[in-house]
Amino acid sequence: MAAVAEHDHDHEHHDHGPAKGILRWIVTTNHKDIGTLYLVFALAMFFVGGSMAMIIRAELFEPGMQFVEPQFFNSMTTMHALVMVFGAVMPAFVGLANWMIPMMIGAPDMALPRMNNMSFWLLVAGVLMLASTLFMEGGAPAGGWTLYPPLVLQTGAALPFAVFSVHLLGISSIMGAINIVSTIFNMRAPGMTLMKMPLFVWTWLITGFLLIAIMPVFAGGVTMLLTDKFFNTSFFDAAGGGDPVLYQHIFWFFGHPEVYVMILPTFGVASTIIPVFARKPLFGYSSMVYATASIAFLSFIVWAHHMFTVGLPIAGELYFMYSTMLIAIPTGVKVFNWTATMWKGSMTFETPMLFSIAFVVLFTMGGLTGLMMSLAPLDFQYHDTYFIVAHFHYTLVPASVFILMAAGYYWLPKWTGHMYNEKIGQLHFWLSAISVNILFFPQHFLGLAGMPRRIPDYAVQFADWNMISSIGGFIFGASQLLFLYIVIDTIRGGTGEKVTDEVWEDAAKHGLEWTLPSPVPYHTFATPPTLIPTEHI
Amino acid sequence: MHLCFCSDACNITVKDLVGQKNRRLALKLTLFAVGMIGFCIALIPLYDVLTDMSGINGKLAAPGKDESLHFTVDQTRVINVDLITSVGKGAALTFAADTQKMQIHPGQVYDIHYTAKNTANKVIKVHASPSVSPGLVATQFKLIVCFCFEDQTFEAGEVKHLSLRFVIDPTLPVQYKNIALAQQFFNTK
Repeated sequence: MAAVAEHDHDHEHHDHGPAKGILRWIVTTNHKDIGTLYLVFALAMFFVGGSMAMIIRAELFEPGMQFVEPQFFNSMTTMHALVMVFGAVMPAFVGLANWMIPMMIGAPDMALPRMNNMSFWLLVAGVLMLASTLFMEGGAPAGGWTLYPPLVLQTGAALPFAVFSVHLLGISSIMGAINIVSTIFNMRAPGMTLMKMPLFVWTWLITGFLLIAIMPVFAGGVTMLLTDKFFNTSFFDAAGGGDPVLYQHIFWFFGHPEVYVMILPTFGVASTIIPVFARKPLFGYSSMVYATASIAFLSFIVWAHHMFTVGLPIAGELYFMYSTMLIAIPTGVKVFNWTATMWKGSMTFETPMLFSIAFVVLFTMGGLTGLMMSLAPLDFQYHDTYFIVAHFHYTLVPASVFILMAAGYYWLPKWTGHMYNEKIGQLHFWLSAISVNILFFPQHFLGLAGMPRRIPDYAVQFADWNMISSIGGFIFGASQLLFLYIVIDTIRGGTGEKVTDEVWEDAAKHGLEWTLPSPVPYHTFATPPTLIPTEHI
Repeated sequence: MHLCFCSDACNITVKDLVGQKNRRLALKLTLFAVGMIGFCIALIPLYDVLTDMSGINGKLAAPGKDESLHFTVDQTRVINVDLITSVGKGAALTFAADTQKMQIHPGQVYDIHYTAKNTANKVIKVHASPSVSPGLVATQFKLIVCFCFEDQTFEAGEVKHLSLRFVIDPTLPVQYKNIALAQQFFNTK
C-alpha cells in the first residue's frame, strides 16, 4: 500500500457541507450520504427479515401447529430469505462500498454519483414492492426464495409484484455494480495500482463483475415465469413442451454466483480488519487476489450441484461434483492466509477483531459442510433437509453478517468521530457468537436425521433439537438489539472519548481512510492524495 | 489522472476526461448486462438442443428418416411399462390408456391404444406431449407412430381412439426394469 505525503486543499468546491433538511437524503449524490442510506436501510431490513425468522423459530419451537397457518409459514421462509439476501446483506455491502471504496483508493466520490442515488432509491422501491405482497390476496410468495415453477406459479396476486420487484432489485444492483467497477477502474489516485488496492476494493471489483453478469440472467428467468403465468408461454411448463428443470438451471446459474456476491466482500472486509488487530501485514496479498478471482470464476461452472437430485446424467453429476470440490482450494488459501496473518501477531481483541476471528472459525465450518454436500451421492441424503439450512446459514450469518457487524464496529468511529461502547460491543459479540451456534449447530443433526426444510410442522423425534435451536434463535435475535443500541449511541456521542484520525493503533499503515480526519469531512480527496510507495501492507 | 499537481483550470480538464472515461466504461458494462439478458434467452434453445442431443431430459421425438428400428427381440428380458395419462389445465378432455400396465421385451414392436373424449360443447384442438421416465432411457425408447406427433381436433363430444407404436432398443442397459411413459394433452397454442 502507500502512505499519504501531503494534502492539497480543495479549491473548486465551495459547498463544504451537506444540504440542510430531509431533502438532503433524497437528492444526495454524495458517496458518504448514499453509503449511510444503504447501511441504515440494510439494518432496518435486517430486523424485518429477522422478525420473520423469529416467527419461523417460534412456530418450530414445538411440533404441531402453534401460531401461524402453513401458507403464511411458507411465506415467511420465502420472504425471510428474499429480504435478507436482497434487502439486508447485499445493500449493506453496497453501502460499505459506497462509503469506503472512494476513501480507500483516494477518489473524491463514486464515478457516477447521480446513478448512485438512483440505484439506492430503486432498491427501496423494489424492497417495498416485495414487502407489499405480504398484504395481497393469496399472500406473499411461498414457494421458496428460489421461485421454482410449477409451484411458484400457484402464487396469488403477489407473483407479478414479486417478479417486478426482482427486476427493480436487479437494475439497482447492476447500476451499483457498474458504479463500483467504474470507480475502481477510473478514479484511483495516482500510484494506487491495482495490486496495491486494499483487498476490500479487490473483492468488490470482482463482485461487481459477478453482479453485472448474473442479475440479467435472473431477471430474464423470472420474466419467463411471468409470461408462463399470464401470456400462455411454456418455457417451464411440460404440458406445452417446456421443462421446469430448465428454470432450475437458469436460477442456479444466477444463484451460485449470487451467494458469492454475498461472501466475496465479506472476505474483503475480513482481510482488511485482521491485519490491523494482528499488527502484521496481510499474509499472501496477491494469493488472496488470485483466490478471489478463482472463486468467482468457479462460481459460474458449478451451478448444478444445487440440482443433484433432479435426475442429471451420471457424467453431469461427476463433473459438477469435482468442479465444486475445486472451490475448496482457493477458499482454503484464504483461510490459511487469515490464520497466517494472525500467527505470531501482536493481537488485541477489540470487537471488530472478535467478530472477524469468529468469522474465520465459523465460516470454515460452513465451508466444510459445503464440501460434504458437493459429494453427489451423499447429497441425496442432505438435499432439502435442515442440513443445507445449517450449511448456508453458517456461511451467511456467522460469516457475512458477523463481518458486517465487524465492519460497523471498525469504521463507525471513523464515520462518526465517536467511540462505541467497547463493553457492550463485547457483550454483543459473545451473546451472538454463542447463540448463533445454539441456533444453527443442532440443525445439522436435524438434517442428518431427515427433517425437511420449509415445513411448519414436523415428526416428534425432531422436537428436542428444534426447541434448542429456537432458544438459540431467540437469544441471537434479541442480542442484535444491542447492536442497534450501539449504532444509535455511537452516532449520538458514544463514550464521549475523542477518537484520533487513526482510531486503531497504526491503522494508517493499512488504509488511506485512516489518514483522513475523524469524523470524515463531507468531501474528501477532492485532490487526489500523493502516494509514497511503501512495502505491501 | 496523472496530472494532479497542475492549476485549477487544468484540473477541470482532468475531471472532464475522467467523466468521459466513466461514461464510456459505464456504457460498456451496460452492454455487457444487456448481453447477459440475451444469453439468458439463448439458454432456452440451447438447452433444448443440448438435451435433445444427449437425450437426457426424457423428451421423446419422432424417429429420424433413416433410423432403423428393426431389432432382435430379447425374449429373456422383461420390462414393466406404465402408461400414464393426464390432461393439462384448460383442456376439456377425458383421456386414458386402454391398458395401463404392460410387460414387454426389448426389440419387440408394440401397438397401444388410448381413448380420449371431448367434454366441451365445441370443437377443440389439442396436442399431446410425451415424456418417459427415467429420463435417461429416452434415447432407447423409440416412438414409431404416435398421435402425439400431430395436433388432434375433436368435434363437440367426440370420442377418439388414439394409437401409438413403440419399440425399446435392446441396447437399453439392464438396470432399467420399470419405465413410465407419460402423455399429457394440452390446448394448442
